[in-house]
Amino acid sequence: MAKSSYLYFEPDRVGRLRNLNLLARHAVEGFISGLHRSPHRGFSVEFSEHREYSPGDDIRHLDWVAYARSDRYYIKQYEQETNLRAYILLDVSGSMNYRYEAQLTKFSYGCFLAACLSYLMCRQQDVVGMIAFDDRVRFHLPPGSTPAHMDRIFRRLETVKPGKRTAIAPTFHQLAASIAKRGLVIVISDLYDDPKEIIRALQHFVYKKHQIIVFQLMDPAELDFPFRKILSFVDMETGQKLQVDPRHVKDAYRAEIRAFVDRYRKECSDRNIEYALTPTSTPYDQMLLSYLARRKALRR
Amino acid sequence: MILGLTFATPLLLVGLLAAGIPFLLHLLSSVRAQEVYFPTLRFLEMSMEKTARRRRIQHWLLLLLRALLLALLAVAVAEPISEATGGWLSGKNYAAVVVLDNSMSMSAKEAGGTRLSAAKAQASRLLAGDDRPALAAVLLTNAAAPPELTGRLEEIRQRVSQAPATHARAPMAQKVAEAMDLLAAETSVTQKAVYVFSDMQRASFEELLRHEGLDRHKDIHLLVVNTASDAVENVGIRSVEIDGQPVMHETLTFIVTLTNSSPTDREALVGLRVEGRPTGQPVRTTLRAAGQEGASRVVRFRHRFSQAGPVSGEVYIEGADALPADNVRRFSLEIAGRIRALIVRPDQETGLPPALDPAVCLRLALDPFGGDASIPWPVRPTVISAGELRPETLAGADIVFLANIPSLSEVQAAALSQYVRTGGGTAAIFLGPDVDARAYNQRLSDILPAVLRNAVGEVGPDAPAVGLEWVDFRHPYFEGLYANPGDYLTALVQRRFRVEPLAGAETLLRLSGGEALLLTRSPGEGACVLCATTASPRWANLTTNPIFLPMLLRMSLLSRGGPEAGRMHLAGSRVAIQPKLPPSARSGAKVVVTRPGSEDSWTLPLGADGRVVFTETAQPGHYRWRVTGADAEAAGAFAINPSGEETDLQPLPAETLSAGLRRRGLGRVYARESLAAASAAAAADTRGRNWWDYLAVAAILVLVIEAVAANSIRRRGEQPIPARLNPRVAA
Repeated sequence: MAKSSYLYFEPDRVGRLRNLNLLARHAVEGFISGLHRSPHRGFSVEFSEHREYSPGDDIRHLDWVAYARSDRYYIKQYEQETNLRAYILLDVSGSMNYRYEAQLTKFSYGCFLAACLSYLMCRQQDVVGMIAFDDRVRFHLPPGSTPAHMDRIFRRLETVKPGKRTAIAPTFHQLAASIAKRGLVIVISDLYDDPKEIIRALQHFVYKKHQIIVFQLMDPAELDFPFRKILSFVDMETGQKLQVDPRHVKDAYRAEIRAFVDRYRKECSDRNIEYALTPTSTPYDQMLLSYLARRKALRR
Repeated sequence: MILGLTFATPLLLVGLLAAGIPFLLHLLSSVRAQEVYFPTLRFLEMSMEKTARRRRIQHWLLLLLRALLLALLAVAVAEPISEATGGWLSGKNYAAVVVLDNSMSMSAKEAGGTRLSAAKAQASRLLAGDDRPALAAVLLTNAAAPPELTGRLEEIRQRVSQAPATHARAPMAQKVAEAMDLLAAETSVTQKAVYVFSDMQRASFEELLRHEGLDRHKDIHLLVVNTASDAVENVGIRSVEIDGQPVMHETLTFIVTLTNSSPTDREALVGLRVEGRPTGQPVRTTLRAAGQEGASRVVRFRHRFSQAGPVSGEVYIEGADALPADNVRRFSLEIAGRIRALIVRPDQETGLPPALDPAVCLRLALDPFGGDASIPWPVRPTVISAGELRPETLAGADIVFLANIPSLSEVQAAALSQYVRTGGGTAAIFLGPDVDARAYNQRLSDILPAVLRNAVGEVGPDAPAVGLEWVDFRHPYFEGLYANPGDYLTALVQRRFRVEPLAGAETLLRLSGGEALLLTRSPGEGACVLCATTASPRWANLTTNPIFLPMLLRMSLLSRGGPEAGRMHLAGSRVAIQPKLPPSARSGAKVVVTRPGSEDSWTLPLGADGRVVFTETAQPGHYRWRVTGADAEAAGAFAINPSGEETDLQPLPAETLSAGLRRRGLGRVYARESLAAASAAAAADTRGRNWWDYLAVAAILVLVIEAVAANSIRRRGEQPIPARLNPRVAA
């Protein structure tokens, strides 16, 4: 594969993922007949179920085997395969610009991940849109699948810079209300906001019949808190300072962050939202490889 | 007093203010920590909230530890002293035993008097002063009468003032133990003290240090007041030993040991007097200062007594010094007449030339001067034939030599055996070619030191000879003859009897190959010496060997027994006088003891065991005794000398005494140079325990705990913060 001229697209890495499809687990709407199940039961390729014949139905779809068995007339219904409509919601708030010893900041990692996902979905003829947000929407690229659309996504990622504050929940509510067609919503964020509000916002997507995948990006230092000496920690979004002796708070901090992550995991699981804690120390392609492989196994 | 504590340096309690320093620092200081970006402070804030209480406790704990550390140090340097459960004796009801040292060293003159007078003055001050005891007793180191505790202190003071100086040593350990036992038995008071007034003379007090059992009286204070000064000028005679046999014409050696107690080198002029007359010029010698090598010296005098009988004399130092009593050391000797040596030759003439006749060789060796009366010689040999050997001829001899006697009759053998076993004589048997070994083994087995076997070896100019392999040169026969042990081993023997030593025998000469050549045994009062070869050049060159003549002479001199040790005694000792009287003459006999030059006389009845014990030996001097009221006559003399140990006037250091007794478990020991100083030391110690050391240890422990608590989670090394996360750098 040719060397990419995009900052956040690495063909070599993405190439390893080409055999894996980002399949929607649930029925989603699409406008191209693709690999994803459509919620609309029409007459398409795959048989879904029977219904009793009503005068006016197309008799081409009568199930004669069922008639031989039951002496009654049934019409076959089919699942219609559609193309996936995906929305990648990328958090570009100030907290995403953090890295301690990992190679990439959460922001860069998120951009690589977003670019990779975009490519995969476009390659399987899905349409993907990109929305970057912090305390507001920074840019909104409607779904598309053409190479030009891909180019637009990659270039846009290169220009966006991490912002300041975070306001995930309001932004999610806003997006949930604005996205009409059901599809796949991929959230790439550290979710540093009120978990209750974020979950509620995600629930809003669920209510709109979207399928949601959440990639919670965390730097290993945020999980492990490896600091030893007394430091004055400065909030990257608010600038607030707090002097801490890590020896005294390390255990409590780890417990808190673990509880924070576990809450999201549980709440997402309860709502059938796919959730993946994504330490930025794991290369994004490896992470995606193992995630998609797991997902494929589950689908079987 | 605070909380039952007093403080040695209460002013230093101001250091307690330092306990506030940690709190002050806490208020004033603020840690300027490095700034670092972090995505969100949300969880840190939550963690801080959760750990706030614990952190506060830890922080305050550390502050308190630091304050406590400083407070402990401040109190420690102020030296808190707890009040003792029992106070010092001052003004209280207590009992005291005064041990007054009146040994010989206390007679040493010092400024203003003697050491004893200074001791008496201090003891009197105790008994009359404000701190006088309620009950007291005085114990003299050199008096036998056991005292009792009494409240009549005037009587005690009188006894102190009348305490005589003596010439004996101070049994300090025994007296201190007696004093403590006396106090322990007294139950009417709880506070008790032993006061020792002494010059702390080294020998006496080192004995005190070695004494066991004093620690059972831990509650009794022991105050030792040293009444001596260090600047005493004295050279004394520590001892006189007499080497040699007190026999007429025999040279005796007087070995005199001198000790210098002075702080400087001193010269001494030492002489010997016999019967009041000097024997030659005094010897001048220089002694180094006390404590240095050379502070003790040995001087030797040699003297030959030309007449038998009792002799008295003394070794003396000319001139006066601090302690005249140790400038004279007396002796008393009984000089015996010449040794009567009997040489027994065979009855039959051997036909040998005189040079090969053993009897001739023995006679020549025992009397080299052929009986010349003008030449003083301690041995008078007489030669008899074997047939003349009878009990009556033996009776007058000090030593009998048998020279190649073939055998003895049963009567002769019995007489010889009795002579050796009960008579105290010495039989020296020289074997030869005519000796019947079987007969000797049969008849003299009870006195012989070995069993005779066959004779071995050839004689002749070309016959091989065996040399001496070993000589017991520690034996009195050979001791000190030669400086080089190899000079002893020059004898050669061609023919000799093989002998098997019996139990109790000593081998004195041994040939190469291990054969015994000369043996001795003491079966009873006397001794039997056996030589396995001839006393002539027929079989060996022993008679022409340098050890032969001195061996025979010493053998003869020692036939009268060892050196007379019973005629010199120390002052204060018990002298046993045992006149040589037959049992039948003892009844009704008395022993009269006098001291020439004085009117002192004591009459003591002779005991049924034929002895008396004379105890009036406080005064050094010459003493004579004689028996009265008996059918036989007997008389003698002895000398009483002052204690030789007391000539070393150097005191044992007070610190050494205190430390040594404390190691033995006696905690309340105070040795000082005056009564006031000793009392002050005891009072200071009895005020209570100084707890500064415990506080210092506690402070160190707190320091360790604080260090551990403050650094308990310090990890190895510190992680650097990337510059991109440093707000200052990132800006």
